[in-house]
Amino acid sequence: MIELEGRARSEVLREMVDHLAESPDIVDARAFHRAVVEREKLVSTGIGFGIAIPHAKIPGIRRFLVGLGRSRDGIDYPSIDDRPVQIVVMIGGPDGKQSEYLKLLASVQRFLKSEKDSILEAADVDAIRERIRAF
Amino acid sequence: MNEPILQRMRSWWPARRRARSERIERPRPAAATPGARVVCVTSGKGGTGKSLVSTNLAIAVARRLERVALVDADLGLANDHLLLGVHPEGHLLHLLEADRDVADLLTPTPYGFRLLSGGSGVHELAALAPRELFRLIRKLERLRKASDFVIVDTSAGIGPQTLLFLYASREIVLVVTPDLSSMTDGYAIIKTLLHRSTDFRIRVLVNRVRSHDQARRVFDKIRHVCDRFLATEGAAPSIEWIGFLREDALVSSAAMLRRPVFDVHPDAPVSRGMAVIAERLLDSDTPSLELPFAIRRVLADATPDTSPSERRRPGRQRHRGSQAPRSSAIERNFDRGSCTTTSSPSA
Repeated sequence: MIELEGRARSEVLREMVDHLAESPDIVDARAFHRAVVEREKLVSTGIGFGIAIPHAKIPGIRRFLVGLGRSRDGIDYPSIDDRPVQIVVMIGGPDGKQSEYLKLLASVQRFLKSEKDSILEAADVDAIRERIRAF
Repeated sequence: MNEPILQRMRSWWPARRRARSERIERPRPAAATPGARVVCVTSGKGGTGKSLVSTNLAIAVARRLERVALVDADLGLANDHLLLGVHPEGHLLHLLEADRDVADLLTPTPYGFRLLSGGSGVHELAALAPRELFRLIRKLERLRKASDFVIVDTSAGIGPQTLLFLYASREIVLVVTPDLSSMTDGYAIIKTLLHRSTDFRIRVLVNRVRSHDQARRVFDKIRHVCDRFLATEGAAPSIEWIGFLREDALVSSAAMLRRPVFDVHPDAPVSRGMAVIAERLLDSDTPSLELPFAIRRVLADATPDTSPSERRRPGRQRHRGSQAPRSSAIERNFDRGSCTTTSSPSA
């Protein structure tokens, strides 16, 4: 969970990967960053509503990890509805685990649907962590 | 029910396996299976906007998942490629060739997903033999295993080829419009599916409406008729609301440009509606059917049109009344208070 400083998509992806790479479950952070960028080249993961869900599944990650970043100013991130992105949820996980990824994505979507406003209004990162724990 | 092909398939299927298949009617909990989620987009009547929904849904899903495929299963009359502005080099008929794999026939789109075309003007696709349809499903299983999410855009109605795709999946998005024939035909799809199994997850999308209220009235009418005529003894059938799309001239103008409305007019009400529907679709998880189970369901009990009340066996669908609902009674239920007016819902 971090406050994002970057204003461009590439900067934000780097910030989020660096944040998640603190976990020992990411064996190869460079490969993860490469996979996330490649995924964005296929099509942007800006899903609209001010949210982006960059993701990649590679063998160099032991289990699924989720990181959440918030930008108060908005990020220049290609989005399906052309609106600036303020919440970035990055998901990394092992390759070939479609079912687990689909379940995790469903949980993330339910969380964002119910908590998007409170994430944007939260005073700081600790307050957002509280919301996540309460969900 | 229009099922001669399914009956011929049944006779072709070995007797021992067929006997096993007849025991699958009881609903059972969905088991987690490896492979993509498969969602069939269908309608009872043509022209309800299935292709609009399928293509734009694929665009929205491809933002969240990496390996998304759209199968245009309107065999022989496919047109999703036109709405996406791509030129497929192969189509589903080519899958029947021994040396062709499904991966060879997928056309990349600019929207992050791949399209498997159903072929346009290919009359052979509209008249496939049962054995060929099975080969098609078997080869499509490879697509399910290699994908995260598969959307199947079926043809309208309850023709055997449409039913084959519907029976082989678990999640259905039923597209209806506010006119009586669309609602009645949509109900016919629901009845046909629930007659086969109660394991389907059917979600209704109301297209071409003026307002949310009008869409809800359409949905309430369909649910009311389902509750009245298709309820099992313990519970009403599970028909869910997934959302609505407004009537919008921008849809046609985008189609003329051979681009999806999401791409041309991302902020239009219809695009916002699609985004909400995609979000709802993905905020729950419904495991898809593994091939053996899907095929058994396709083959199970392909009896000609019999009403639920005529098929009373444990675990089977039953409606509350002593007689099967007559179509005129159903139509009266839909017709009472037209959905295209602003009258209060009668259901």
